Amino acid sequence: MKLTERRVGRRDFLKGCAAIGAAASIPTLISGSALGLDGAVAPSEKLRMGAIGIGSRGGHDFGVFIARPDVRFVAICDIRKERRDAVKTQADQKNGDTACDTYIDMNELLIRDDIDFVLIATGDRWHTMASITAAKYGKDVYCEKPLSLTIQESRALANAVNRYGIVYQAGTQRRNIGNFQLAAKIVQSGKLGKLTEVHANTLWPATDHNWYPAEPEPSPDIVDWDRWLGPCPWRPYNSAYVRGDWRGKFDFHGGGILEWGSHTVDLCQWAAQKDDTAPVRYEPQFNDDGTIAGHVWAYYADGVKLVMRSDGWLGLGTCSARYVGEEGWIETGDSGRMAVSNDKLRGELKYFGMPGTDPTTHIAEFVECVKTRRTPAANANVAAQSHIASHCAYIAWQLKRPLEFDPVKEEFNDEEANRMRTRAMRAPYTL
Amino acid sequence: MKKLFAASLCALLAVCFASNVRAEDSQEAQAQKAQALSVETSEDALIAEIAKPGDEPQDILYKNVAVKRLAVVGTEKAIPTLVAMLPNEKLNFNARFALEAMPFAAVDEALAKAANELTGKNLVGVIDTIGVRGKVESVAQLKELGDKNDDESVKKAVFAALGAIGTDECADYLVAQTDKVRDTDASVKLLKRGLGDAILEIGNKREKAGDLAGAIKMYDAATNEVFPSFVQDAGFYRALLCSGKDAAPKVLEALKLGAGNSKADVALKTVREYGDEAGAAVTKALTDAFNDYPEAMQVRIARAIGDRKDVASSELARAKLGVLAKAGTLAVKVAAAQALAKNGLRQAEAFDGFASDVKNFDMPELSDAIVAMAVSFDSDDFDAAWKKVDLLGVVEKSENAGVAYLKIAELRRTAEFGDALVKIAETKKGALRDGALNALSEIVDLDNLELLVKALDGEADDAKVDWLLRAACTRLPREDCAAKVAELFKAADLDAKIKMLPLLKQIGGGTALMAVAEACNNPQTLDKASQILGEWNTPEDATALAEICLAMAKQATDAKYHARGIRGYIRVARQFELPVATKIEMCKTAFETAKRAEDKALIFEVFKRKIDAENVAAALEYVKYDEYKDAACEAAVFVAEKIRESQRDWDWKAATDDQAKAKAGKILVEGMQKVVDSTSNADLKARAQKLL
Repeated sequence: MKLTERRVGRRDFLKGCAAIGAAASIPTLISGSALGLDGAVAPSEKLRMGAIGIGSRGGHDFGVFIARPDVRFVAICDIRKERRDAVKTQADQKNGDTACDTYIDMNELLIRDDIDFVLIATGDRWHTMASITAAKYGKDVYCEKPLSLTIQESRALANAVNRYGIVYQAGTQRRNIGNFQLAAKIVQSGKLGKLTEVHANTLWPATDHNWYPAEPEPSPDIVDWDRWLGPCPWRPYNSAYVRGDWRGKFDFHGGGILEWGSHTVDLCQWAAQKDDTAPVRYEPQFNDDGTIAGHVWAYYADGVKLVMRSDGWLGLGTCSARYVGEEGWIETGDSGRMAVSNDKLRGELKYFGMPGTDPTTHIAEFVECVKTRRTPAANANVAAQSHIASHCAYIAWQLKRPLEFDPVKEEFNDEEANRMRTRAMRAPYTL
Repeated sequence: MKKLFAASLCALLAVCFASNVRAEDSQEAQAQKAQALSVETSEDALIAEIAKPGDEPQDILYKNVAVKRLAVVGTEKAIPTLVAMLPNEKLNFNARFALEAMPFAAVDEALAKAANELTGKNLVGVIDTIGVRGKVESVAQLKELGDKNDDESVKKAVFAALGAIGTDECADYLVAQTDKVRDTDASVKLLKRGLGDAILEIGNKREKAGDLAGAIKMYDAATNEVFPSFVQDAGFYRALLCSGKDAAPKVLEALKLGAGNSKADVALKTVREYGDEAGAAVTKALTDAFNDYPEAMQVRIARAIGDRKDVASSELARAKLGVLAKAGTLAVKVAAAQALAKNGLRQAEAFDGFASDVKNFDMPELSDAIVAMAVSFDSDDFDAAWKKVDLLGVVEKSENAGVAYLKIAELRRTAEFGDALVKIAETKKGALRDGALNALSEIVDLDNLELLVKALDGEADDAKVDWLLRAACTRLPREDCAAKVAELFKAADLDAKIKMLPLLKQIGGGTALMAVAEACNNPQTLDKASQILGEWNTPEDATALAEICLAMAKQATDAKYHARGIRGYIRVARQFELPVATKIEMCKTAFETAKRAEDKALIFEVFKRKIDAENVAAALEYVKYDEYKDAACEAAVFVAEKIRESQRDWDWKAATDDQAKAKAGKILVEGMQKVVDSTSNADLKARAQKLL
C-alpha cells in the first residue's frame, strides 16, 4: 500500500482545522463530558438561564439549552400565556420540580441576580430592545437573528454590549458549523487567489404597510398586545400577528435581504475578513424589462463585490454563500455540502454532515464564553456590521438607486437614505 | 410657532370629535390606500392625510403610513401639522416618527416648545426624540425638565437624552443627580439604572473620542454604591480597559475576589481585550502572581492569557503554560493544553509533555484537550515528530491513548499512517477500529479507495459506511471519484447498489449522473435511481439532467416513472438557473409530454418563480385550455402583482424611451386585460383589474 505518496490537502487542511479553533472542532474533537453534555454537574456549577419570548425557532434553541447538564432553566418571560405555560412545563419536567417562574414583564426577570444569561427569541421587533435591556441588567445574551431592524439599532446594541461587558452571541449559528468554517478558512488562506466576489443568498426584499382587520383584544394575561407591539407603531390586535404572521410587515420586519442576509451577508463579511466594516456602495439591480430584481450588488472599499441575490443559488441548501477568487471559487449551504471550482480545491474539503440550521455547537460556544468571559464568534460587533450592510442594501432597494455609504460615520451620500437609518420608538421605549 | 402649535391642536381636536361618524374603508380599499400612501410623492397629499380628522384605527393606519413617507421626503412645511399630533397619545408616536428623522432646525425648535406643554407618555416620547436628535442646544431645557418633574419616567427619559447628547454640561448634571437618587424609593429597574446608564454612555463617548481620563471619571462615577451592581461592574470594566497598563494591580486585586465574582469576571474579560502594551503588562503580572491564586482561578487565568494574541503576551503565556502543562493539577493541565492549542510554540515539546504519560489519556477532558492541541499545531518540528510516531505501538500500549492518536491522525490527515491504519482496522474492534476507519476515510486517495471499501465490507452499521464513504468522496477529484464509485457500483450486490446511489448524488457531476441514469435501466434499481434524479442538485448538470428526465418521461411504460420523469424535468426548469426563454420552452415541452393534468399544472409554478414580464405572457399562452385557464391567469396575476409591488412608481401604460420597459409595460397591460377577459374567477378578475 502506498498511501504515503498522497500529498493533496493534508497540510492545508491542517491549517484550516487549527484556525477553526477549539469551539469549531467541538463536534468531532471534544467529548460530551468535556462539553458538559453528559455526566453530572454540581448544581452550584450550573449556569442559570432565563428566556424572553420563545416561538418556533426559540423552541429549538430552548431544547438545545435545557439538554445541557451545565444549564438550569429557571424563568420564562413571554407575553403569551400559552407559551409561558408550555415552556414552564418543559423546564419543570427537565428540572424535576415546579420552580420555573413565569413573567410578562421582562424587567422582572432581568432584575433577578440569580440569572446568568437569557435566550431572546421574540419576534424581530423586540430583539434589539430586549437585548439592550438585558445588557443594561448585566445579563449575557443569546439572541436570535436578526439583531436589529435599523442601522441605528445595530449600533446601539453593539454599544450597549460593549458598555456593560456582557457576552452576546447572535443566533447566526453558521459561524460555528464546520462546512461554513472550512469555507471561510479556505478563502482566508488565499487558496482562491485574490478574493473578488462574495455571494450571499437572500430573499425577496419587500415589506408592506397594511394592517389585518381588528379582532377583540384578549386580556393582557392571555396575550399582552401592548407589550407584543413593544417599541413598534400601535395597530389593532389580530391573532395572526401573534401566531407569527408578522413577517413581511414593515413595522415588525426588516425585509428579505435582512431575513437571510443576517446569516449570509454575515458569512461573507467573515470569510472576506471584513468583520469591522461594511460595503461602501450599494446598487439595486434591475431585470432586462426594467423591473427591479431582488438582487443588490455592493462593493467594499478595496473593490471586493458583495452580491446579495434572491435566486440563482447552487442548490446546496438554504442560506448559501459563495466566495470567488481569481483562482477559483467555493460555495456551501445549509445542506452541509460544499462545491468548488476545481479538484485541487476539492482536496481541501471535509464532510461534516451537520445541517446549517443546527444551533448546538453555536450554543456550546456561547455557554463556554459565558463561563470564561471570552468573546464569542457571532458577537455584537461583527453582527452589527453585517446587519448594517443588509440594512444599507434594503434602503438602496427601496429607493431604487445606487447609494454611497461611509461605514465609519455610518452615513449615506443621500439625505433620504440617511433618514431611513432610524425608526422612532413608541414611548416609553428608548434605545 | 407656539401660536401655530395651538391653532393646529385646536383644529385637530375639532375634527377628531367629528370622526366618529365616518364610515371605514373596506379591507381592500384600506390596503390600496395604504400602499398608495407608502409611495406617495406629493408632500401636500401626505400632509393633507395626516391633517385629516380622526384617531380611530383606520385613521391611525393612514397617518402612520403617511408619516413614514414624510420621515423620508418631508420638508419644513410638514412640521406644524406633525407637531399638532403630539398631544394626542394615539398620534404622538406617529408625529415623532417623521419629526425624528427630519434634519431641520425648525424641528428642534418645535419639539422644545412641545416639551414645555406636554406631560406623561407624550412628553417621554418627545424627550426621547430630542435625545436621538442630539442637539447641544437642548441641554438646558432637558435639565430644567429633569429638575421640575417628579415623574420617574420623565426623569429617566431626561437622563437618557442627556447621556445621548453627552456634553460636559450633561455629564456634570448627571453625576450631580447621583446623590439625589440615593435616598429616593426609585426602583432599580427605572431611575437608578437609567442614571447609571447615562453616565456610562458619556464615558463611552469620551473613550471613543480618546479622552481616557474623562472617560475614567465617568466610569468611576458609575461605580458609586448607589447604583445597581451591574452598573457598578460596567463602570469598573470600562475603567479597567481605559487604564491600560496601569490596570494590572487592579486586575490582580479583582481576581482575588474569586471565581464567579462579577468583578473578577470583568477583570478576566479585560485580560483578553487590552491592546498590545497593556496586554503584555497585565500578562506579565498574572504569570508572576499565578501561584497566589487558588486552582479555580488559575484555570481561568491560564485560559485568559492563552487567548492573548500580541507577540509579547504570547511569549509570556507560552512559557508559563508550558510549565503548567507538566506541573499543574489536572484542571490546570487541561486549561494549559486548551490554551496552548491556541498559542502553540515549542509544539513538539508541549505535546511530549502530555503524551509521554499515557495515563493522561485516561482522563477524558485532558485527552480531548491534548487532541485539540495536537490538531492545531502546525509547526514543522511537530509535523516531523508526529509522522514518526509509532502508532501501532501506542495502540498496543493503551487503548485510550490509541483512540486519541487515531483522532489526531484523522484530523491531521496523516497519510504516513496508512499501513498502520489498515492493520488496526483489520485486527482491532470497537473504538480502535472505528478510529482507524475514520482516519482511513480522511487519507485514502483514488488509487486505494477500494481499501476503505474492503475494510468496510461486511460492516453492519450502514450509517457508518455511508458516513465514511461520503467523507472520502467529498475531497477526492469529482469526476474521477465518480468513475471509481461507478465501477464499484457495477460490481456491488443489489443491497449495496441501493445504498450507493445517494453517494453518487452527493458526489454530483456528469459522470455520477450518467451512472444514476444507467441505474434507471435496471428494473431492480430503477425506483431508487429515479428518486435520486428528482433530488439531483449539481447546477452544472441542469441540461443533462433535464434530458434524462424527459427521456424517462417519454419512454416509461409505467405511469409512476413517466410522472417522475416529467416532474423531474419541470423541477429543473423551476429550480435551476437557466435563461427565462429556455425555461418557457421547457414548460411548453413538459405541457405537451405530461399525461396527467396535475403534472401539466406544475408548469405554472415555474412561471411564478421568476418575476419577469415574459413569464406573464408565457403563462397566458395557456388560457386557451379551459382546464388550465385559471391556473394560467393566477400565475400571470401573481407575477404582475410582484412587479407592481416592487415598482409602484412605474406606470405600465406610460410612454417611455426605454424599449425594454415599454415592451414589458405592454405585456403587462395586455396580459391583465387578457385575464379580465378570460377568467370567470371573480377574485382573479378583480386582482387583474386592480393592476390595470
